[in-house]
Amino acid sequence: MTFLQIDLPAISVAILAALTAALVGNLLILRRQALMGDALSHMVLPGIVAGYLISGHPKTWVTIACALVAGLFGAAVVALIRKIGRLDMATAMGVVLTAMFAAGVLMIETTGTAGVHLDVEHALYGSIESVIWPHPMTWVDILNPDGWGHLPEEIPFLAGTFAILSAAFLLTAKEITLVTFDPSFGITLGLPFWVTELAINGAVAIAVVAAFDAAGSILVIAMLICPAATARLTTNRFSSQIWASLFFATTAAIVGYCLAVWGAAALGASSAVNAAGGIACVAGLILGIAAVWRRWLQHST
Amino acid sequence: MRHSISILSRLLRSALIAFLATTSSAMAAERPNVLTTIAQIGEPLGRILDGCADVQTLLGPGVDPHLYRLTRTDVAKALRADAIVANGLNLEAQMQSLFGRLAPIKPVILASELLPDVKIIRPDGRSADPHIWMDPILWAEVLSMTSNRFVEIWPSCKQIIVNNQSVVIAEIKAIDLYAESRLATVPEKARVLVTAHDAFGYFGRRYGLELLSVQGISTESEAGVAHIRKLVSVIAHRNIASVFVETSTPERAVDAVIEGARALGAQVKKGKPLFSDAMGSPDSYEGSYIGMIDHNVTTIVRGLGGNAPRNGMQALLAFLPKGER
Repeated sequence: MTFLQIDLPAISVAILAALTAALVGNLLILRRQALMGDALSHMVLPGIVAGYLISGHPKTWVTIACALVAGLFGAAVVALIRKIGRLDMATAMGVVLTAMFAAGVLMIETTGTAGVHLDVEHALYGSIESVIWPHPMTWVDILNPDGWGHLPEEIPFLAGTFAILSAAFLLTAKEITLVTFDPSFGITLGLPFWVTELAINGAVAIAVVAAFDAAGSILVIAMLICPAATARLTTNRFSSQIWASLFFATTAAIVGYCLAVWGAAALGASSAVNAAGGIACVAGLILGIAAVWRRWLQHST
Repeated sequence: MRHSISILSRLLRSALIAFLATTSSAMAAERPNVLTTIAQIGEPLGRILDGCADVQTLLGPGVDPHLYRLTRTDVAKALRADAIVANGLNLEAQMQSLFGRLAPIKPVILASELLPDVKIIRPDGRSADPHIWMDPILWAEVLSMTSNRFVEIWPSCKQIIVNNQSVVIAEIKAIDLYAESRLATVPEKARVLVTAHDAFGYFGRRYGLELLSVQGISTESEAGVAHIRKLVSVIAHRNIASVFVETSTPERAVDAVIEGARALGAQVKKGKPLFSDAMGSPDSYEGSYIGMIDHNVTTIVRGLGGNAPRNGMQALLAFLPKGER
C-alpha cells in the first residue's frame, strides 16, 4: 500500500501548492507581474541568513518566518518604489530583487557564514517527494483520527494558507476586480493606491513562501504563471478565469505527478523522475495547447 | 585422557560451527536490508554487515549529495528498508524531513552525529563540516559506533559484526599509516592543500596540511574575485606545486587560480582530480572507501613533491581514475 503512504500525501501537497500559487497567479498575470515568483525566490535570501543567525540552524520554522518577513518587506518596497519613482512593475521588481539578493550575499560574506550550506535551496525549498505519511495501511485508516497526528505538517499548513487566501479573495472580490482592471478607479473609490498594492503583494508573498516550503521553487513558479495564463486564454471573465485556473492547476498536479512517477517507469526508466519538474512540464504543455487552440479559434472565425 | 578431551572439544566445536551455519543460512532467506545515503558509509558497512544484512547505497558514483534531488523511487526504497544510515550533520539536507518521518517506525542512524561534539569541525562556530570520512581514524570510529548500533538492533548478528568490524577497521588503520608516512615525505613548506571546495578540513587536521579552498563549503557558491587574487599570491609566494580539482565540482575556478599564479611566474600545475563527496564506480578499487582515500593520499603526495608509489598503497590504483578528463 505504498500509494497511501507515499503518493497520496505527495499528490495532496502538489495539488494544494498548485491551488495556492494559481489563485494569486491570476492577479500577477492581470497586473503584468508574472516575474514576482522569481523575484520572491531571491528576495527571501536576507531573511534566510537572518533566520540562521538567530536560530543557528539552516532549516527551522525561524528561517521560514524570517523568509516570509523578507518577502513581505520586499513586496512593500516594490509598492513604495512604484509609488515614488512612478516606475512600471517589472522595473520595480527587478530593482528590489537584485538589491535584496545582493544584501543577502553581503550578509553571508560579512557574518562568517560563507562556510555554511546557506542557500535558499536548502533553507527554504521543500520537495513533494519527502512528504510521506507512514501511518495508513488501508483506506479505512485514513479516516481514523489516531493517525492524523502524524499527518505531514505541510498538508494542514498549505490547506490553511489556501483557505485563508480564498476567504480573503471572496470577501474582497469586488475591490480586487476593480483595482486589477482599473487602478485609478480604486483611488476614486477611496482605496489608496498603496493599500491595494500592499494587500495584493503581501498575499502573493504569503502564498509563495508557504508553497516554496512545501513544494520547492520549480513547481511554485510554474504554478504562479501557467494555470492563470492558460485560463486567461480560455475566458475573458475574471471569475471564470479564477475557477479555470484552479481547474488547470489541479489537472497539471495530478497528471504531472503520475507521468513523473509511473510514466517514466512505463517508458523504461529505472527510476522515477522529479515530480515537481513533471508537474511544471505538464502545466507548460497545457498552456501551449491553450495558446494554439486560441490562435486556431481566431483564424477560423 | 587428555587426548579424549581434545577430541570432545573438537566435536563440540564442529557441532557449534554446523549450528551457526544452519542459523545463518536460515537468516539468509529473509535478510534485513539497510539503506545508506553515501557510499563512504555503504561500502564499508556492507562488508561489516556481510552475512547479516544487505546494504544498499542511494547516491551513486559522481553524485554530489549537496545537489541531489529525491525521487519517488528512492522514497519507496527508504520506506521498504529495515534500517537507514545517513551521514547527518546536514549533508543530506534534502532528505532530512523524510528521515524525520521514518524515524518513529524504523531505526534511522545519523552516523557522523554519533561522534562526540568536540571532534567535529565547525568552521563558523555553529554549523558542522560534514565530511568526516576524510579522516580515516574518525571514520573508523563512526563505522564502529554505527555497527555497534546494529548489534543492539539485531543481537543475533553480534558475532558476524564483531569479526567483520575488526577486519575493516584494521584496513582503515593501515591506510591511515600509509597516509601519515607518505605525507611526511612532502617538504614541510609545501604542505598546503589548495582544492576547489572545503571538503578536506578533517584530512588537513589529521595530517597537518594547511588548507586553502577556491570555493566555500557548498559546491554551489561562487568564488569572489578578491579571494582568488589572495590565493594566487599565496601559491606564487610559497611555490605550491599543485592545485587540485574534485570529481564532483567544476574546474573553472581552479583554472582561473592556476592561470593567475602562472602569470606571477609560479610553477604550478593542475593535480589529478580528488574524490571529495563522491567515490569511484562501485566495481573499481576507487569505489571502495580504502581505494578512495588511497587515491587522494597518493595523488596529493605526488602532486606536492612527496614520495609515493604511482599506483598507491596496495598497487591497486588505476593510473587515471574515472572522471579524469
